[in-house]
Amino acid sequence: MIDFEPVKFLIVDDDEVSVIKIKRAIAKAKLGNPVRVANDGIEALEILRGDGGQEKITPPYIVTLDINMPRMDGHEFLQEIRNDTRLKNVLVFVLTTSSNEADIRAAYDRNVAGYILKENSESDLIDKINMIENFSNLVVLPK
Amino acid sequence: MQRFVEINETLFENQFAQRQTEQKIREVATHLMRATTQFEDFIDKLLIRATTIILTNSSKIGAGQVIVPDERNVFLIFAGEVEVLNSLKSDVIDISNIVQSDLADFENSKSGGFADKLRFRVRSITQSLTLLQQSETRSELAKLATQINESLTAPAGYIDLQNEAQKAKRDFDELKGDQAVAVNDIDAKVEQIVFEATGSFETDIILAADLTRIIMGIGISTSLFVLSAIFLLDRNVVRNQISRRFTTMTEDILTISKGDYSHSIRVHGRDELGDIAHALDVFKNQAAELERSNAELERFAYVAAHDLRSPLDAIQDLARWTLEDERDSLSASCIENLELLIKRSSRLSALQADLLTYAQVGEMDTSVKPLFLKDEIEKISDMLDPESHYHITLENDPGEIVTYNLPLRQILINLITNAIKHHDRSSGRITVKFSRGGGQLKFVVEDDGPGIEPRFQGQIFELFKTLQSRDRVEGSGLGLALVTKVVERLGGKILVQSDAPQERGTRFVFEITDFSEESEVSRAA
Repeated sequence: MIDFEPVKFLIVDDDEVSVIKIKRAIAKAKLGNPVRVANDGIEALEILRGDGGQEKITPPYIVTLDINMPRMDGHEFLQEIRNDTRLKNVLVFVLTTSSNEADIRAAYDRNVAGYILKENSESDLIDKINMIENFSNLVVLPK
Repeated sequence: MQRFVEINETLFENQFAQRQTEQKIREVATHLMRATTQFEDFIDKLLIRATTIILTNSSKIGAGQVIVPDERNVFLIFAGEVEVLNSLKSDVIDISNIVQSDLADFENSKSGGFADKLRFRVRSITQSLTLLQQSETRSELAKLATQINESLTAPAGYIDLQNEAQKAKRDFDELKGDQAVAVNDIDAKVEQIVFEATGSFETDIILAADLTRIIMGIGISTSLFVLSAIFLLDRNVVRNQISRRFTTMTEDILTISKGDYSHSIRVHGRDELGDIAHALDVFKNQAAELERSNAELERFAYVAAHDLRSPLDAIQDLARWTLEDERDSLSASCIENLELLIKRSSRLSALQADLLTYAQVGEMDTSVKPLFLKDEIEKISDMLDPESHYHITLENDPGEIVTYNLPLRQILINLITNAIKHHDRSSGRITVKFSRGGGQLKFVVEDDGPGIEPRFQGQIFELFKTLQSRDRVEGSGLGLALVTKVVERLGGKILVQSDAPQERGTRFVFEITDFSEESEVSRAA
């Protein structure tokens, strides 16, 4: 049975302006997808597991992940969910300004769906958000 | 000098005399040893006889047999004799030991109070002999004792000779001391010659003559000995010492060149090698410092890239969003201010990006690959002037060239950007002229803009220098500084030509290495 419920976005990013930017891009792409925001890896884990006073996010959802964050950065977050039997299949797109080779390699080693560079251009970001949305509609997401 | 020669002669005589005395002592000692051995043998025989008699008598006594008075007397006599014989034996063994240890000491150039001990033993032997019963063996022993006594105490006997030898040895030591003083004199003379080597020629001659006399005086054989000693010292000691230190230093240099700056240099000294080691230490510290500051610069580059860029982007985004969302409700001056805010922060972003590129020139990919120059110019033209206001062309198309791809692209982009940015008209011509020769690729980037007056030409390659207000022409002041840095890093050079204000146009000329095969062949030839 195909699920027509719209995919949720979990934005994991510590930069407030960056979060607004992604939210605006989603709005401008005329996508009505629900959005949840986590300021670092720890908060994202709480939302995914439904602990720490956070309401648990229900599938289908996609995670957009920044790399450089306080407390628990993107790499540590990826390691944590890949070792968690209930979260190891979560679909993650890295959305970051870091073009560092080591960051890219480490992210793909932990099976991210894609590593996307955040350019400053707004139209560029809208295109990318659109792509992620289309992708999530085309593929069957894990339950 | 005379004194030195005298001392040497005396020394020689002294040593000769010492040898002779030594020889005599050995002869007398041999004689003495023979006598003492005979003496001992005799006593041993007597002791065996006496002991046998005593044992026989005592077994009779033990068996309860009656000993006749005569026999008992004999027993008592022999018991006393054994005692005397033992004392004699110990005396003669003492004499023999003293002589032997004296001879050993002689070899070790030591002296001992031997004479008194020997005389005492001889006296003791004489006394003991009188206690023995009158017999043939006693007269034999007495003869041997006389012999020993004579060998020891007669003029030119053992004790005399030993005394003579001791005295000669003392003289020898004294003479040696005198000789050392004389040799120091000569050393001083030689040093004086070396010291005054740069001085007057006359002094040299006088001193050299002095030295010659000295050497003649010492005698050819001594000179030869001294020379050969110096030669041996030079060859074996000095050379081994130097080559060992060289090996150590080579190891140190190799370790440090591998980047181990904590390694300390193990060679020291006041010679040239020590100086080199010291210089190496200075280099090492500078290399470590350079590595540290390079690491710091890399960290700075990363901070500039990431931490500076994000807030700058955020400022621009927020101003843009405000304009987007609220343009209708904002006053005209508010809109103008926000637009200026966006422009200035864009300028800051551009400066940040240029600074980052400038800081990273050292890490720029300098791999050498073939490329089609015409394609490259066309790509740059499309990127910088997409609407083709300026006619950007390549003159003398070489087809494929082999050189540093990325740096060449960076240089061309910066020079063409400048030509467009500083052009005073909305259209114009920018020409890249190519030529090659002497293993170099020569490029000329020529425009028909306003040109640069010669008095300003020196400034344009400096960091952060701009000839126009940044409000008129956006620029970080880093473009040409970056080009210079890139060209110089590749071992090339760049210069500017312009005859403004008489004539329009500016020409930038630069050369970088030609890696094509023809060039390699011509260079090899």
